Amino acid sequence: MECVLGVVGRDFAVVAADTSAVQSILVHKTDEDKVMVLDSHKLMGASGEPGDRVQFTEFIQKNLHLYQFRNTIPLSTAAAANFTRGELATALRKNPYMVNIILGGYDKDVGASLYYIDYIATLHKIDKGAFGYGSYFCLSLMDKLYHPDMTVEEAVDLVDKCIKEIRLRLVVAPQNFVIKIVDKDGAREYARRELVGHNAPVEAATTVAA
Amino acid sequence: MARYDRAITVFSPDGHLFQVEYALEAVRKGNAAVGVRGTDTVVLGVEKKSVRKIACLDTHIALACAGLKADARVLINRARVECQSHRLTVEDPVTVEYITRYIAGLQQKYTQSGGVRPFGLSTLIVGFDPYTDKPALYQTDPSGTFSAWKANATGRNSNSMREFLEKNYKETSGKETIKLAIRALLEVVESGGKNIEVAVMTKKDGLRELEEAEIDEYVAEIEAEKAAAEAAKKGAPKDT
Repeated sequence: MECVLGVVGRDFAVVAADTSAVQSILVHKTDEDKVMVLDSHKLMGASGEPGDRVQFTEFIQKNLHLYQFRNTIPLSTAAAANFTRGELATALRKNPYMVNIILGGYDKDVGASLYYIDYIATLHKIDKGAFGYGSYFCLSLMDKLYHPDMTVEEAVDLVDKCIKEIRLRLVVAPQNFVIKIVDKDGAREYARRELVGHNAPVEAATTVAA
Repeated sequence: MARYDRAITVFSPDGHLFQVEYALEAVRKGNAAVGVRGTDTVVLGVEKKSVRKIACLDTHIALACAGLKADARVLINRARVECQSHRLTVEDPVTVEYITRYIAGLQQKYTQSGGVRPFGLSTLIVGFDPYTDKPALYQTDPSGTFSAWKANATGRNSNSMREFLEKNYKETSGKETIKLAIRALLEVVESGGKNIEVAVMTKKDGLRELEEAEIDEYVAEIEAEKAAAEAAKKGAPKDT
């Protein structure tokens, strides 16, 4: 039931994910951050087997840092995406990582880019994409509403519409989401959308997600 | 393969490890390097040749070395990997002491293994302890020993630099620490920004390499201070 989605706008990319940590019928926590900041200008939203997710994304992050210390310059987004895919591919026929990834980044020469990397090491460069059951709703919404060169407000509005649809139509839907953005100024958290938990607005407990 | 098991570093009858001592000779022939620890800053200075001498191991740790640069590349690479590996396994950055112990341990291993020679370099490792925020300076050598220092030098003419530091060291901070390091280097290196490389590490900004122009500024200040001190000395006897 986990969802990760991403959208490319004018000189920025947005990566959003739900923040639920679920095991069988239990929700462990509702503020689990699944969008890792890989380095100053890269975001990696990941969903899948929880142990694999943390292990794999941390492994990629530390290897990106090592590259930067060895070579004084960071890896480009494309290179990082291909490196990630390579690691998934190598592990695939031995001990696969069950992790799906939306990787967003900003490079000075290329601008913003977004990559779709699934657990069997598929790699696609995309403008918009999503993983999980939520993708059944998100992708259609994106097809209808996305256009190139969106502003931050337009892109976040699109993400919010996706979140609204997931909350409404997915059975056992995750309620809380995190939205992160990466642009020339770096990768950072943009906003949280919370209906449950400590930080949820008081009214949320008594109203239905509409 | 059996032929390569023979140890190269073996004890001499009077208890010396000649290979290690010869490695120290290689260090003595290497480019001069100095490290000075201040209260809020720690500075590395090296004699400039063609190869970049000061390496970043992590965001809060840097290393300078004297001796065989090719050996240095290997050690620096292993240290960089260890810094990230440590972060991955325990989710914490290394302390300066930890990575020094790691590098020294590696150097020692190569004095007690078959078919290998010791690393021909001594390192000066600087950084800030991520937990106490205190600056630190350590030195390792080919034998694998390491210790912490307020200031130290290695490489060519390190004895002169060390003598200078012993005479002139005092607790400094910020620019004074940088000046002290440059003054020590200038004892043995031709003056001028193009002959020395200086890197400054602070808690806030991490490692920063000084520009040639900046170094020239410091050198000018130092020469002016020296000239003033000379003049004062010459002036004093007349007062009586």
